Amino acid sequence: MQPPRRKRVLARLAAVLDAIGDAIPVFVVLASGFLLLYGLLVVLLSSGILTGAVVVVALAFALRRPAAAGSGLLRAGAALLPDGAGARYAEEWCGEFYDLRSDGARWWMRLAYVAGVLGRAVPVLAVTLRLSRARAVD
Amino acid sequence: MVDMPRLTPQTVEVLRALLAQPATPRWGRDIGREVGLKSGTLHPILARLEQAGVLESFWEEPGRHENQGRPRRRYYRFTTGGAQAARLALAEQSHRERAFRPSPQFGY
Repeated sequence: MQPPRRKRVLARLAAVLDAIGDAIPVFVVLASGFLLLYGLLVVLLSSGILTGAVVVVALAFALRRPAAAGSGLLRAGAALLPDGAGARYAEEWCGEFYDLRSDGARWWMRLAYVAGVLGRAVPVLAVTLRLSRARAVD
Repeated sequence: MVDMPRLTPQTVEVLRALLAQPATPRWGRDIGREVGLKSGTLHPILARLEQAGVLESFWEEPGRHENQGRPRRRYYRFTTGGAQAARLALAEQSHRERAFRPSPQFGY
């Protein structure tokens, strides 16, 4: 004999509530873990620990391989230029950086070269080349 | 077609350095050393002159830099008519400077 329809619905509802009840602790654990990691990341970023760690790693790499670090920075700067110009200037600046090293320039001169290119040439060229391209299109 | 850009004092120095030997291609660091400009200032000037049609640039022949075991250089030289346009612009600028230079006058 089949139980009445009402009882069957109530049994189904009870099963669903049981399943939800089982899932809630898992969800709570996962959500609190995510929030904990997120909070940790926020604290690290706001306290500057992560930034400091990145800077320390970058400095260690730069001190160990200054030529590669300088060329890498120049290439990264040139990548901000509109396409076509980026590859050209990356090669040109890396060539000049190489000449600077082979001329026996001291580390601060090489650093000044990289800083000058990144601080002045890249922003000015990025604007100039984009503006001229826009004018050519108009 | 040459469309001379605004002549800043640094641009004038670069043009003068290039006009000393107009037929000789020069590379960026060589020009910068002569004029006393850092690469950060020099390259935007060269790019503006290149866009204006005053200068043209080209990569060094592979034979030269491969023999010396160094990366290739980008050379800059005047276009046809670029040197003449640069001379005219420099002459106009110096004429203008002379014309507007205030002469000392008595008064007050």
